[in-house]
Amino acid sequence: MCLAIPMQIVEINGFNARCTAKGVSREVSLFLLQGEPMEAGDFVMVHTGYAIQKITGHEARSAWELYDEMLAAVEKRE
Amino acid sequence: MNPLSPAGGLTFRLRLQRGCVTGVEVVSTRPQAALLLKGKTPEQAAQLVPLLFSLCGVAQGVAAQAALQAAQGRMPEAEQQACWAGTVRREASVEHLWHLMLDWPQICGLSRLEKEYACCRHKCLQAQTDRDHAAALETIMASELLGLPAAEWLAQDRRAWAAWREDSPALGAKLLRCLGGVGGVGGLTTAYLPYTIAADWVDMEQAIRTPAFCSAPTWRGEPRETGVLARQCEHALVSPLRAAGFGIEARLTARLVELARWACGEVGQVSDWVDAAQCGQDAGLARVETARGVLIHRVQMENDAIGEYAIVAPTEWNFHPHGTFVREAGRIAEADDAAVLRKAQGLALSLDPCVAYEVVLEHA
Repeated sequence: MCLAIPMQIVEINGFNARCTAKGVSREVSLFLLQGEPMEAGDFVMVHTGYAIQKITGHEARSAWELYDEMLAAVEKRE
Repeated sequence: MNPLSPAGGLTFRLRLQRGCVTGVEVVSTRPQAALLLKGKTPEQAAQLVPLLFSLCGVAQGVAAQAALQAAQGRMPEAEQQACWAGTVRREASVEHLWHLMLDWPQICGLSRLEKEYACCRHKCLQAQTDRDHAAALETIMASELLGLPAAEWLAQDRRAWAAWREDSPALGAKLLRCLGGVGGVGGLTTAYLPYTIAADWVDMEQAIRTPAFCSAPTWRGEPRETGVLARQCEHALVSPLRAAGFGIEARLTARLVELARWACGEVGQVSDWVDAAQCGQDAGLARVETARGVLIHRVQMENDAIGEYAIVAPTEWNFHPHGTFVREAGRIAEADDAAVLRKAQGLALSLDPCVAYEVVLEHA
């Protein structure tokens, strides 16, 4: 299953952005989304360090709700 | 599980004795995310699936829509099916290009073609027609990957192809030269998943409903390889590499062949890419061809909500406990650990798992 991670942009510096999710911060390349207007506060799907898709806050929350369910199920099994 | 890695990952444990791999184990922490769709309405599922699986979100979204419609007794109309097939193929081309322009150069110590990839990705995803898509691919194939027009490259005989491979400054040739040292692992032993349509999977729906099948699928009781090599294995530029046992090179060449054929407008039939079938009362199944291989979605409706949802993804075929990766990695024999590691990583990348992976060497 090709899951990418929804993250929120905190700061943009050229084609790089500092993004956060679940209190964890990552450097993410915005290179593949050039031409799309992007600013701090926006949400993106991140795969192997690249933002591959801009999404809405609602979509990010929906995805994380499912991921949280999945993580809870895994932790229960462990 | 890492809170930022809900996708899980794959660990390949290779047991070594004097440079020879004597055992291979695949450890997967990939969750069966399809189980989360139980209880959702079809509308919720159609919105959530592309978000959950955003790396191949188009293919996953199309599979979900087609399966849900089939479960409700509706088969896709020809126009919709053609539209789905086009968008699925455009996404597959972008996945192939990512593989060739970003992933392989890193393994081979070459520069990633980020700028060129970003430009071509945008054009492919924005293409409204197969003609626009083909034009975008032709440009990137001729300028970066092949160094000559796609039709001319495809028409080469073996001698011309060998000369291109040895001398061309194009990225495709550079990658194949780099693979000269890692291409063969001494024979390909896993059969390919044959061409199927959705109806072929209906007989197997009882198996598809089980988590055990979804995590280790088989065809007629055997693991099979799915993906670009299965699709292009008969092509004249691919079959000699396959016959010689150069699996990694064969898969890379098959990707170039597939992209070149699309650039030439050879896109096959609509039903090659997506179709669906009803399987019993309130149940539907969709088959979608993706860059990495066949993707199956099966859904059972119960009182207007999803009662069961199962997904069989390509990675589960290729990284089956007795599948292609395990069999080919089990034949690796090299002089030192570094060479074993390099070949195993190349083999994994050639099969393109859609999640993070690591290779671990364990000495007997």
